[in-house]
Amino acid sequence: MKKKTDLLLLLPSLAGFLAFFIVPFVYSFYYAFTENAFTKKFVWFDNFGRLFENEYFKLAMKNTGEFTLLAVPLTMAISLALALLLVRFARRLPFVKSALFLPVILPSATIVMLWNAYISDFVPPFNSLLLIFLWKYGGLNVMLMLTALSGMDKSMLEAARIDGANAFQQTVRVTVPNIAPTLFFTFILSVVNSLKIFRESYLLYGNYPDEGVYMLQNFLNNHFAKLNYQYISTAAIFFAVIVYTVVAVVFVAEKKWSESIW
Amino acid sequence: MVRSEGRRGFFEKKPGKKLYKRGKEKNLLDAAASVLLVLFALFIVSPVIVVAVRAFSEGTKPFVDFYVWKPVYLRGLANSLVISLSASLGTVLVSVLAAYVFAKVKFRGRSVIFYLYIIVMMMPFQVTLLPQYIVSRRFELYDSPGAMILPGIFVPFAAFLLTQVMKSVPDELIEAARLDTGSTLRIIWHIIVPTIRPGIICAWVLSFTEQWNAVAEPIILMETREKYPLAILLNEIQPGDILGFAATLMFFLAPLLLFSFFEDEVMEGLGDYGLK
Repeated sequence: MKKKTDLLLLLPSLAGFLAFFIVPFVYSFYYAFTENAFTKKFVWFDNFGRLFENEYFKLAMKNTGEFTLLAVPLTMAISLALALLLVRFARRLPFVKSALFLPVILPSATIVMLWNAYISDFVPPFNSLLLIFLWKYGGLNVMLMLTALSGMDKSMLEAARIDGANAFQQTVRVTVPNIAPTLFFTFILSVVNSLKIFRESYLLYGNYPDEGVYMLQNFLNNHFAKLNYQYISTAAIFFAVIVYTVVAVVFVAEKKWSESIW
Repeated sequence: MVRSEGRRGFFEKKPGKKLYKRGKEKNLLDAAASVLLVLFALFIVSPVIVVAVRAFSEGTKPFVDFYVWKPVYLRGLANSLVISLSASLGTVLVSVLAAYVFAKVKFRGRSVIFYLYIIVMMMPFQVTLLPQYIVSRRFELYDSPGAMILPGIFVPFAAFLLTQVMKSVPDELIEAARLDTGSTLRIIWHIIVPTIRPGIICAWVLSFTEQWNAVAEPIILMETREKYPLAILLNEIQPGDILGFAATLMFFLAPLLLFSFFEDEVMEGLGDYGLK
Protein backbone atom coordinates (compact mmCIF):
# COMPACT_ATOMS: atom_id res chain seq x y z
CA MET A 1 0.00 0.00 0.00
CA LYS A 2 2.95 2.30 0.53
CA LYS A 3 4.19 3.29 -2.86
CA LYS A 4 5.30 6.78 -3.72
CA THR A 5 4.13 6.46 -7.32
CA ASP A 6 0.59 5.72 -6.16
CA LEU A 7 0.19 9.41 -5.52
CA LEU A 8 0.39 9.97 -9.26
CA LEU A 9 -3.04 8.35 -9.57
CA LEU A 10 -4.56 11.41 -7.94
CA LEU A 11 -2.97 13.66 -10.53
CA PRO A 12 -5.51 13.53 -13.40
CA SER A 13 -8.41 14.26 -11.11
CA LEU A 14 -6.61 16.90 -9.11
CA ALA A 15 -5.19 18.71 -12.16
CA GLY A 16 -8.63 19.03 -13.75
CA PHE A 17 -10.20 19.95 -10.44
CA LEU A 18 -7.70 22.76 -9.98
CA ALA A 19 -7.92 23.94 -13.59
CA PHE A 20 -11.71 23.96 -13.85
CA PHE A 21 -12.80 24.85 -10.34
CA ILE A 22 -10.15 26.18 -7.98
CA VAL A 23 -7.98 28.41 -10.19
CA PRO A 24 -10.97 30.04 -11.93
CA PHE A 25 -12.56 30.57 -8.56
CA VAL A 26 -9.47 32.41 -7.37
CA TYR A 27 -9.78 34.46 -10.54
CA SER A 28 -13.29 35.48 -9.65
CA PHE A 29 -11.94 36.88 -6.38
CA TYR A 30 -9.57 38.95 -8.46
CA TYR A 31 -12.46 40.23 -10.55
CA ALA A 32 -14.56 40.98 -7.50
CA PHE A 33 -11.94 43.32 -6.09
CA THR A 34 -10.84 45.15 -9.24
CA GLU A 35 -12.51 48.02 -11.00
CA ASN A 36 -12.77 46.53 -14.48
CA ALA A 37 -10.90 44.39 -16.99
CA PHE A 38 -9.07 47.39 -18.47
CA THR A 39 -7.86 49.48 -15.55
CA LYS A 40 -7.34 46.44 -13.27
CA LYS A 41 -7.41 48.84 -10.35
CA PHE A 42 -7.81 47.31 -6.91
CA VAL A 43 -10.94 48.82 -5.41
CA TRP A 44 -11.47 46.92 -2.13
CA PHE A 45 -15.16 46.42 -1.48
CA ASP A 46 -16.52 48.98 -3.95
CA ASN A 47 -18.05 46.27 -6.14
CA PHE A 48 -19.90 44.85 -3.16
CA GLY A 49 -21.20 48.31 -2.29
CA ARG A 50 -22.44 48.84 -5.81
CA LEU A 51 -24.02 45.42 -5.86
CA PHE A 52 -25.94 45.96 -2.62
CA GLU A 53 -27.44 49.11 -4.09
CA ASN A 54 -28.70 47.27 -7.14
CA GLU A 55 -32.47 46.80 -6.89
CA TYR A 56 -32.49 43.62 -8.95
CA PHE A 57 -29.77 42.03 -6.89
CA LYS A 58 -31.71 42.77 -3.72
CA LEU A 59 -34.82 41.32 -5.25
CA ALA A 60 -32.94 38.22 -6.41
CA MET A 61 -31.36 37.67 -2.99
CA LYS A 62 -34.67 38.15 -1.24
CA ASN A 63 -36.45 35.66 -3.49
CA THR A 64 -33.68 33.09 -3.40
CA GLY A 65 -33.45 33.40 0.39
CA GLU A 66 -37.19 33.18 0.89
CA PHE A 67 -37.39 30.13 -1.29
CA THR A 68 -34.60 28.27 0.49
CA LEU A 69 -35.82 29.28 3.95
CA LEU A 70 -39.26 27.96 3.17
CA ALA A 71 -38.45 24.96 1.00
CA VAL A 72 -35.72 23.34 3.09
CA PRO A 73 -37.50 23.19 6.48
CA LEU A 74 -40.68 22.06 4.72
CA THR A 75 -39.03 19.20 2.89
CA MET A 76 -37.08 18.18 6.00
CA ALA A 77 -40.22 18.08 8.16
CA ILE A 78 -42.36 16.24 5.64
CA SER A 79 -39.64 13.75 4.70
CA LEU A 80 -38.77 12.98 8.32
CA ALA A 81 -42.40 12.49 9.28
CA LEU A 82 -42.94 10.16 6.35
CA ALA A 83 -39.73 8.24 6.96
CA LEU A 84 -40.54 7.73 10.66
CA LEU A 85 -44.01 6.57 9.79
CA LEU A 86 -42.83 4.27 7.04
CA VAL A 87 -40.00 2.61 8.92
CA ARG A 88 -42.37 1.77 11.71
CA PHE A 89 -45.37 0.48 9.89
CA ALA A 90 -45.06 0.02 6.18
CA ARG A 91 -44.22 -3.19 4.42
CA ARG A 92 -41.18 -3.26 2.19
CA LEU A 93 -42.60 -2.61 -1.23
CA PRO A 94 -40.06 -2.64 -4.06
CA PHE A 95 -42.30 -0.55 -6.31
CA VAL A 96 -42.09 2.29 -3.82
CA LYS A 97 -38.32 2.21 -3.82
CA SER A 98 -38.19 2.92 -7.54
CA ALA A 99 -40.89 5.56 -7.26
CA LEU A 100 -39.09 7.56 -4.57
CA PHE A 101 -36.06 7.95 -6.74
CA LEU A 102 -37.83 8.68 -10.01
CA PRO A 103 -38.05 12.51 -9.77
CA VAL A 104 -34.30 12.76 -9.34
CA ILE A 105 -33.67 11.16 -12.73
CA LEU A 106 -36.72 12.66 -14.41
CA PRO A 107 -35.61 15.58 -16.61
CA SER A 108 -36.76 18.98 -15.45
CA ALA A 109 -38.20 19.52 -18.93
CA THR A 110 -40.75 16.75 -18.37
CA ILE A 111 -42.29 18.13 -15.23
CA VAL A 112 -42.17 21.64 -16.67
CA MET A 113 -44.07 20.55 -19.74
CA LEU A 114 -46.81 19.06 -17.61
CA TRP A 115 -46.87 22.08 -15.38
CA ASN A 116 -47.28 24.37 -18.36
CA ALA A 117 -50.03 22.25 -19.84
CA TYR A 118 -52.16 21.70 -16.77
CA ILE A 119 -51.15 23.53 -13.64
CA SER A 120 -49.35 26.85 -14.18
CA ASP A 121 -52.60 28.67 -14.96
CA PHE A 122 -53.90 27.93 -11.47
CA VAL A 123 -50.83 28.08 -9.25
CA PRO A 124 -48.71 31.25 -8.87
CA PRO A 125 -45.02 30.95 -9.82
CA PHE A 126 -43.51 30.90 -6.33
CA ASN A 127 -45.84 28.17 -5.11
CA SER A 128 -45.28 26.25 -8.34
CA LEU A 129 -41.54 26.15 -7.73
CA LEU A 130 -42.10 25.17 -4.11
CA LEU A 131 -44.40 22.28 -5.04
CA ILE A 132 -42.04 21.08 -7.74
CA PHE A 133 -39.16 21.20 -5.27
CA LEU A 134 -41.05 19.16 -2.68
CA TRP A 135 -42.09 16.64 -5.29
CA LYS A 136 -38.65 16.38 -6.82
CA TYR A 137 -36.43 15.89 -3.77
CA GLY A 138 -38.89 14.67 -1.14
CA GLY A 139 -38.58 11.07 -2.26
CA LEU A 140 -34.78 11.16 -2.21
CA ASN A 141 -34.79 12.63 1.30
CA VAL A 142 -37.22 9.99 2.53
CA MET A 143 -35.03 7.31 1.03
CA LEU A 144 -31.82 8.58 2.65
CA MET A 145 -33.57 8.87 6.01
CA LEU A 146 -35.09 5.41 5.71
CA THR A 147 -31.69 3.92 4.96
CA ALA A 148 -30.31 5.52 8.11
CA LEU A 149 -33.32 4.54 10.22
CA SER A 150 -33.23 0.90 9.24
CA GLY A 151 -29.47 0.79 9.81
CA MET A 152 -29.62 2.01 13.39
CA ASP A 153 -28.85 -0.09 16.43
CA LYS A 154 -32.06 -1.71 17.59
CA SER A 155 -30.93 -2.46 21.13
CA MET A 156 -31.12 1.22 22.11
CA LEU A 157 -34.79 1.38 21.24
CA GLU A 158 -35.31 -1.83 23.15
CA ALA A 159 -33.60 -0.34 26.20
CA ALA A 160 -35.69 2.84 25.98
CA ARG A 161 -38.83 0.75 25.73
CA ILE A 162 -37.92 -1.29 28.78
CA ASP A 163 -37.24 1.94 30.68
CA GLY A 164 -40.81 2.90 29.96
CA ALA A 165 -40.43 5.35 27.08
CA ASN A 166 -43.50 5.61 24.92
CA ALA A 167 -43.41 5.66 21.13
CA PHE A 168 -43.14 9.46 20.97
CA GLN A 169 -40.29 9.58 23.49
CA GLN A 170 -38.52 6.74 21.72
CA THR A 171 -38.70 8.70 18.48
CA VAL A 172 -37.65 12.11 19.79
CA ARG A 173 -35.03 10.99 22.30
CA VAL A 174 -33.51 7.97 20.60
CA THR A 175 -34.33 7.66 16.93
CA VAL A 176 -33.91 11.25 15.75
CA PRO A 177 -30.60 11.94 17.58
CA ASN A 178 -29.35 8.63 16.26
CA ILE A 179 -29.73 9.64 12.66
CA ALA A 180 -28.47 13.20 13.24
CA PRO A 181 -25.55 12.81 10.80
CA THR A 182 -27.91 11.73 8.05
CA LEU A 183 -30.30 14.57 8.89
CA PHE A 184 -27.39 16.97 8.64
CA PHE A 185 -26.38 15.51 5.32
CA THR A 186 -29.95 15.62 4.00
CA PHE A 187 -30.23 19.22 5.13
CA ILE A 188 -27.11 20.30 3.23
CA LEU A 189 -28.25 18.36 0.20
CA SER A 190 -31.64 20.08 0.38
CA VAL A 191 -30.06 23.53 0.60
CA VAL A 192 -27.93 22.86 -2.46
CA ASN A 193 -30.90 21.35 -4.28
CA SER A 194 -33.15 24.27 -3.38
CA LEU A 195 -30.70 26.50 -5.21
CA LYS A 196 -30.96 24.21 -8.23
CA ILE A 197 -34.63 25.08 -8.61
CA PHE A 198 -33.42 27.54 -11.22
CA ARG A 199 -33.62 24.73 -13.75
CA GLU A 200 -37.36 24.53 -13.39
CA SER A 201 -37.67 28.27 -12.95
CA TYR A 202 -35.81 28.99 -16.18
CA LEU A 203 -37.73 26.39 -18.16
CA LEU A 204 -41.06 27.65 -16.82
CA TYR A 205 -40.54 31.38 -16.86
CA GLY A 206 -37.39 32.16 -18.88
CA ASN A 207 -34.78 34.82 -18.14
CA TYR A 208 -37.18 37.59 -17.19
CA PRO A 209 -39.71 35.94 -14.91
CA ASP A 210 -42.38 37.28 -12.62
CA GLU A 211 -40.95 39.50 -9.86
CA GLY A 212 -41.78 36.92 -7.21
CA VAL A 213 -39.44 34.31 -8.69
CA TYR A 214 -36.64 36.48 -10.00
CA MET A 215 -33.83 34.38 -8.54
CA LEU A 216 -30.12 34.97 -8.18
CA GLN A 217 -29.43 32.85 -11.23
CA ASN A 218 -31.65 35.13 -13.33
CA PHE A 219 -29.61 38.08 -12.14
CA LEU A 220 -26.33 36.33 -12.97
CA ASN A 221 -27.61 35.14 -16.36
CA ASN A 222 -28.66 38.61 -17.37
CA HIS A 223 -25.24 39.94 -16.46
CA PHE A 224 -23.53 37.15 -18.37
CA ALA A 225 -25.19 38.60 -21.43
CA LYS A 226 -23.43 41.90 -20.69
CA LEU A 227 -20.16 40.12 -19.84
CA ASN A 228 -20.02 42.01 -16.57
CA TYR A 229 -17.41 39.84 -14.80
CA GLN A 230 -17.09 42.19 -11.84
CA TYR A 231 -20.74 42.02 -11.04
CA ILE A 232 -21.09 38.28 -11.49
CA SER A 233 -17.96 37.50 -9.47
CA THR A 234 -18.99 39.78 -6.65
CA ALA A 235 -22.48 38.31 -6.52
CA ALA A 236 -21.16 34.75 -6.71
CA ILE A 237 -18.65 35.30 -3.91
CA PHE A 238 -21.19 36.99 -1.70
CA PHE A 239 -23.56 34.12 -2.35
CA ALA A 240 -20.88 31.51 -1.57
CA VAL A 241 -20.11 33.26 1.73
CA ILE A 242 -23.78 33.04 2.73
CA VAL A 243 -24.15 29.40 1.76
CA TYR A 244 -21.01 28.32 3.59
CA THR A 245 -21.95 30.33 6.66
CA VAL A 246 -25.23 28.44 6.79
CA VAL A 247 -23.45 25.13 6.28
CA ALA A 248 -20.88 25.93 8.98
CA VAL A 249 -23.53 27.01 11.49
CA VAL A 250 -25.52 23.85 10.93
CA PHE A 251 -22.36 21.75 11.11
CA VAL A 252 -21.39 23.23 14.48
CA ALA A 253 -24.96 22.96 15.75
CA GLU A 254 -25.11 19.32 14.76
CA LYS A 255 -21.81 18.60 16.55
CA LYS A 256 -22.97 20.40 19.70
CA TRP A 257 -26.31 18.70 19.61
CA SER A 258 -25.03 15.15 19.25
CA GLU A 259 -22.42 15.81 21.95
CA SER A 260 -25.04 17.11 24.38
CA ILE A 261 -26.99 13.91 23.92
CA TRP A 262 -24.25 11.45 24.70
CA MET B 1 -19.44 -5.05 -1.71
CA VAL B 2 -18.42 -5.63 1.86
CA ARG B 3 -21.29 -4.74 4.09
CA SER B 4 -22.25 -5.25 7.70
CA GLU B 5 -25.62 -6.49 8.88
CA GLY B 6 -26.79 -3.14 10.13
CA ARG B 7 -26.24 -1.42 6.83
CA ARG B 8 -28.82 -3.32 4.87
CA GLY B 9 -31.10 -1.09 2.83
CA PHE B 10 -34.56 -0.41 4.09
CA PHE B 11 -36.19 -2.35 1.31
CA GLU B 12 -34.16 -5.51 1.52
CA LYS B 13 -36.30 -8.21 3.00
CA LYS B 14 -34.95 -9.64 6.19
CA PRO B 15 -37.50 -11.58 8.19
CA GLY B 16 -37.18 -12.00 11.91
CA LYS B 17 -35.49 -8.75 12.86
CA LYS B 18 -37.69 -5.73 13.03
CA LEU B 19 -36.78 -2.25 14.13
CA TYR B 20 -39.80 -1.85 16.34
CA LYS B 21 -41.75 -4.60 18.08
CA ARG B 22 -45.16 -4.93 16.57
CA GLY B 23 -48.16 -6.76 17.94
CA LYS B 24 -51.20 -8.06 16.13
CA GLU B 25 -53.19 -4.95 16.97
CA LYS B 26 -50.74 -3.00 14.86
CA ASN B 27 -51.67 -4.85 11.70
CA LEU B 28 -54.30 -2.27 10.89
CA LEU B 29 -51.83 0.59 11.26
CA ASP B 30 -49.41 -1.41 9.20
CA ALA B 31 -51.90 -1.75 6.38
CA ALA B 32 -52.86 1.93 6.58
CA ALA B 33 -49.23 3.02 6.40
CA SER B 34 -48.63 0.73 3.46
CA VAL B 35 -51.56 2.27 1.63
CA LEU B 36 -50.19 5.72 2.42
CA LEU B 37 -46.82 4.66 1.08
CA VAL B 38 -48.33 3.41 -2.17
CA LEU B 39 -50.36 6.62 -2.56
CA PHE B 40 -47.23 8.66 -1.97
CA ALA B 41 -45.40 6.62 -4.60
CA LEU B 42 -48.26 7.06 -7.07
CA PHE B 43 -48.23 10.81 -6.44
CA ILE B 44 -44.54 10.89 -7.25
CA VAL B 45 -44.88 8.78 -10.39
CA SER B 46 -48.04 10.47 -11.69
CA PRO B 47 -46.28 13.04 -13.95
CA VAL B 48 -44.66 10.28 -15.97
CA ILE B 49 -47.95 8.45 -16.36
CA VAL B 50 -49.69 11.61 -17.58
CA VAL B 51 -46.89 12.38 -20.03
CA ALA B 52 -46.99 8.84 -21.44
CA VAL B 53 -50.77 8.86 -21.81
CA ARG B 54 -50.70 12.25 -23.55
CA ALA B 55 -47.81 11.26 -25.83
CA PHE B 56 -49.67 8.21 -27.13
CA SER B 57 -53.04 9.96 -27.34
CA GLU B 58 -52.58 10.47 -31.09
CA GLY B 59 -50.91 7.18 -31.83
CA THR B 60 -47.36 7.14 -33.10
CA LYS B 61 -47.52 10.36 -35.13
CA PRO B 62 -45.62 12.58 -32.65
CA PHE B 63 -42.89 9.95 -32.39
CA VAL B 64 -42.53 9.80 -36.16
CA ASP B 65 -42.35 13.59 -36.16
CA PHE B 66 -39.66 13.48 -33.49
CA TYR B 67 -37.46 10.93 -35.22
CA VAL B 68 -38.09 11.64 -38.90
CA TRP B 69 -39.45 15.10 -39.61
CA LYS B 70 -37.72 17.28 -37.04
CA PRO B 71 -34.01 16.50 -37.35
CA VAL B 72 -33.16 19.24 -34.86
CA TYR B 73 -34.42 17.06 -32.01
CA LEU B 74 -32.59 14.00 -33.16
CA ARG B 75 -29.42 16.06 -33.31
CA GLY B 76 -30.17 17.39 -29.85
CA LEU B 77 -30.51 13.82 -28.62
CA ALA B 78 -27.16 12.96 -30.19
CA ASN B 79 -25.57 16.04 -28.58
CA SER B 80 -26.97 15.03 -25.20
CA LEU B 81 -25.59 11.52 -25.61
CA VAL B 82 -22.12 12.69 -26.62
CA ILE B 83 -21.89 15.15 -23.74
CA SER B 84 -23.35 12.92 -21.04
CA LEU B 85 -21.52 9.73 -22.03
CA SER B 86 -18.10 11.40 -22.35
CA ALA B 87 -18.42 13.38 -19.14
CA SER B 88 -19.79 10.51 -17.04
CA LEU B 89 -17.34 7.88 -18.28
CA GLY B 90 -14.47 10.34 -17.92
CA THR B 91 -15.40 11.31 -14.41
CA VAL B 92 -15.67 7.67 -13.31
CA LEU B 93 -12.26 6.91 -14.79
CA VAL B 94 -10.34 9.74 -13.12
CA SER B 95 -12.36 9.42 -9.91
CA VAL B 96 -11.68 5.72 -9.33
CA LEU B 97 -7.95 6.50 -9.39
CA ALA B 98 -8.37 9.55 -7.16
CA ALA B 99 -10.63 7.65 -4.76
CA TYR B 100 -7.98 4.96 -4.35
CA VAL B 101 -5.48 7.58 -3.26
CA PHE B 102 -7.95 9.36 -0.97
CA ALA B 103 -9.07 6.16 0.70
CA LYS B 104 -5.96 4.00 0.75
CA VAL B 105 -2.80 6.11 0.44
CA LYS B 106 -1.75 8.20 3.39
CA PHE B 107 0.08 11.42 2.60
CA ARG B 108 0.38 14.91 4.00
CA GLY B 109 -2.38 17.24 2.91
CA ARG B 110 -4.74 14.42 2.00
CA SER B 111 -7.59 15.60 4.16
CA VAL B 112 -7.11 19.22 3.07
CA ILE B 113 -7.47 18.27 -0.59
CA PHE B 114 -10.41 16.02 0.16
CA TYR B 115 -12.16 18.81 2.07
CA LEU B 116 -11.60 21.08 -0.94
CA TYR B 117 -13.43 18.50 -3.07
CA ILE B 118 -16.31 18.43 -0.58
CA ILE B 119 -16.52 22.22 -0.42
CA VAL B 120 -16.66 22.54 -4.20
CA MET B 121 -19.18 19.69 -4.33
CA MET B 122 -21.51 21.61 -2.03
CA MET B 123 -20.95 24.85 -3.89
CA PRO B 124 -24.09 26.01 -5.66
CA PHE B 125 -23.62 26.01 -9.42
CA GLN B 126 -24.44 29.72 -9.41
CA VAL B 127 -20.96 30.16 -7.97
CA THR B 128 -19.05 27.74 -10.20
CA LEU B 129 -20.65 28.83 -13.44
CA LEU B 130 -18.61 31.99 -13.95
CA PRO B 131 -15.31 30.16 -13.28
CA GLN B 132 -16.40 27.53 -15.81
CA TYR B 133 -17.26 30.23 -18.30
CA ILE B 134 -13.88 31.93 -17.85
CA VAL B 135 -12.05 28.63 -18.35
CA SER B 136 -14.07 27.68 -21.41
CA ARG B 137 -13.16 31.05 -22.97
CA ARG B 138 -9.49 30.74 -21.99
CA PHE B 139 -9.13 27.16 -23.31
CA GLU B 140 -11.22 27.99 -26.39
CA LEU B 141 -13.81 25.42 -25.46
CA TYR B 142 -16.69 27.90 -25.55
CA ASP B 143 -19.61 26.80 -27.71
CA SER B 144 -18.19 23.29 -28.19
CA PRO B 145 -19.23 20.05 -26.46
CA GLY B 146 -15.91 20.20 -24.62
CA ALA B 147 -17.15 23.22 -22.67
CA MET B 148 -19.61 20.86 -20.99
CA ILE B 149 -17.58 17.65 -21.04
CA LEU B 150 -14.29 18.77 -19.50
CA PRO B 151 -15.68 20.50 -16.40
CA GLY B 152 -18.17 17.61 -16.17
CA ILE B 153 -15.30 15.14 -15.88
CA PHE B 154 -13.80 16.99 -12.93
CA VAL B 155 -16.96 17.63 -10.93
CA PRO B 156 -15.92 16.33 -7.49
CA PHE B 157 -19.08 14.30 -6.88
CA ALA B 158 -17.87 10.96 -8.27
CA ALA B 159 -14.50 11.21 -6.51
CA PHE B 160 -16.27 11.86 -3.22
CA LEU B 161 -18.78 9.03 -3.61
CA LEU B 162 -16.14 6.53 -4.73
CA THR B 163 -13.85 7.48 -1.86
CA GLN B 164 -16.65 6.67 0.58
CA VAL B 165 -17.20 3.35 -1.20
CA MET B 166 -13.47 2.59 -1.42
CA LYS B 167 -13.12 2.89 2.36
CA SER B 168 -15.19 -0.28 2.70
CA VAL B 169 -12.61 -2.32 0.77
CA PRO B 170 -10.52 -4.18 3.40
CA ASP B 171 -6.84 -3.26 3.46
CA GLU B 172 -5.95 -6.98 3.76
CA LEU B 173 -7.43 -7.59 0.33
CA ILE B 174 -5.11 -5.01 -1.21
CA GLU B 175 -2.09 -6.21 0.79
CA ALA B 176 -2.71 -9.77 -0.36
CA ALA B 177 -2.93 -8.65 -3.98
CA ARG B 178 0.29 -6.72 -3.46
CA LEU B 179 2.09 -10.06 -3.02
CA ASP B 180 1.10 -11.07 -6.55
CA THR B 181 1.79 -7.88 -8.41
CA GLY B 182 3.63 -4.66 -7.83
CA SER B 183 1.41 -2.67 -10.12
CA THR B 184 -1.22 -0.62 -8.32
CA LEU B 185 -3.13 -0.12 -11.56
CA ARG B 186 -3.49 -3.90 -11.92
CA ILE B 187 -4.69 -4.19 -8.35
CA ILE B 188 -7.27 -1.48 -8.93
CA TRP B 189 -8.45 -3.04 -12.16
CA HIS B 190 -8.49 -6.71 -11.10
CA ILE B 191 -9.29 -6.52 -7.39
CA ILE B 192 -10.84 -3.19 -6.42
CA VAL B 193 -13.03 -2.41 -9.41
CA PRO B 194 -14.90 -5.74 -9.24
CA THR B 195 -15.32 -5.31 -5.47
CA ILE B 196 -16.83 -1.84 -5.64
CA ARG B 197 -18.72 -2.37 -8.91
CA PRO B 198 -22.07 -1.14 -7.49
CA GLY B 199 -20.48 2.09 -6.30
CA ILE B 200 -18.83 2.67 -9.67
CA ILE B 201 -22.07 2.07 -11.52
CA CYS B 202 -23.92 4.35 -9.11
CA ALA B 203 -21.40 7.15 -9.70
CA TRP B 204 -21.65 6.63 -13.45
CA VAL B 205 -25.46 6.61 -13.59
CA LEU B 206 -25.82 9.67 -11.36
CA SER B 207 -23.13 11.62 -13.24
CA PHE B 208 -24.75 10.72 -16.55
CA THR B 209 -28.16 11.87 -15.34
CA GLU B 210 -26.75 15.10 -13.96
CA GLN B 211 -25.20 15.99 -17.32
CA TRP B 212 -28.23 14.77 -19.25
CA ASN B 213 -30.55 17.07 -17.34
CA ALA B 214 -28.25 20.10 -17.17
CA VAL B 215 -29.94 23.33 -18.21
CA ALA B 216 -28.04 26.29 -16.77
CA GLU B 217 -24.63 25.15 -18.05
CA PRO B 218 -25.48 24.78 -21.76
CA ILE B 219 -27.23 28.16 -21.81
CA ILE B 220 -24.08 29.84 -20.53
CA LEU B 221 -21.40 27.75 -22.21
CA MET B 222 -22.92 27.35 -25.67
CA GLU B 223 -24.72 29.57 -28.13
CA THR B 224 -25.18 27.65 -31.39
CA ARG B 225 -28.59 26.05 -31.51
CA GLU B 226 -27.31 23.02 -33.44
CA LYS B 227 -24.95 22.19 -30.58
CA TYR B 228 -27.54 22.41 -27.81
CA PRO B 229 -28.42 19.27 -25.89
CA LEU B 230 -32.03 18.15 -26.08
CA ALA B 231 -32.82 19.46 -22.57
CA ILE B 232 -32.73 23.03 -23.90
CA LEU B 233 -34.57 22.31 -27.14
CA LEU B 234 -37.50 20.63 -25.41
CA ASN B 235 -38.37 23.93 -23.88
CA GLU B 236 -38.93 25.56 -27.27
CA ILE B 237 -41.89 23.29 -28.03
CA GLN B 238 -45.25 24.99 -27.48
CA PRO B 239 -46.92 24.00 -24.22
CA GLY B 240 -49.65 21.45 -24.88
CA ASP B 241 -48.18 20.32 -28.21
CA ILE B 242 -48.31 16.52 -28.34
CA LEU B 243 -44.87 16.51 -29.94
CA GLY B 244 -43.56 17.91 -26.68
CA PHE B 245 -44.91 15.00 -24.68
CA ALA B 246 -43.48 12.47 -27.11
CA ALA B 247 -40.12 14.25 -27.16
CA THR B 248 -39.85 14.49 -23.40
CA LEU B 249 -40.77 10.83 -23.12
CA MET B 250 -37.97 9.95 -25.53
CA PHE B 251 -35.63 12.22 -23.62
CA PHE B 252 -36.50 10.48 -20.37
CA LEU B 253 -35.87 7.08 -21.90
CA ALA B 254 -32.09 7.13 -21.48
CA PRO B 255 -31.95 7.82 -17.72
CA LEU B 256 -34.95 5.55 -17.17
CA LEU B 257 -33.31 2.61 -18.96
CA LEU B 258 -30.04 3.18 -17.14
CA PHE B 259 -31.76 3.40 -13.82
CA SER B 260 -34.05 0.39 -14.26
CA PHE B 261 -31.12 -1.67 -15.39
CA PHE B 262 -28.83 -0.64 -12.53
CA GLU B 263 -31.37 0.10 -9.82
CA ASP B 264 -29.83 -2.14 -7.15
CA GLU B 265 -26.35 -0.75 -7.74
CA VAL B 266 -27.56 2.85 -7.54
CA MET B 267 -29.44 2.21 -4.31
CA GLU B 268 -26.48 0.46 -2.74
CA GLY B 269 -24.10 3.21 -3.79
CA LEU B 270 -26.44 5.87 -2.45
CA GLY B 271 -26.41 4.13 0.91
CA ASP B 272 -22.70 4.94 1.12
CA TYR B 273 -23.31 8.47 -0.11
CA GLY B 274 -25.33 9.27 2.99
CA LEU B 275 -22.71 7.86 5.34
CA LYS B 276 -20.41 10.80 5.68
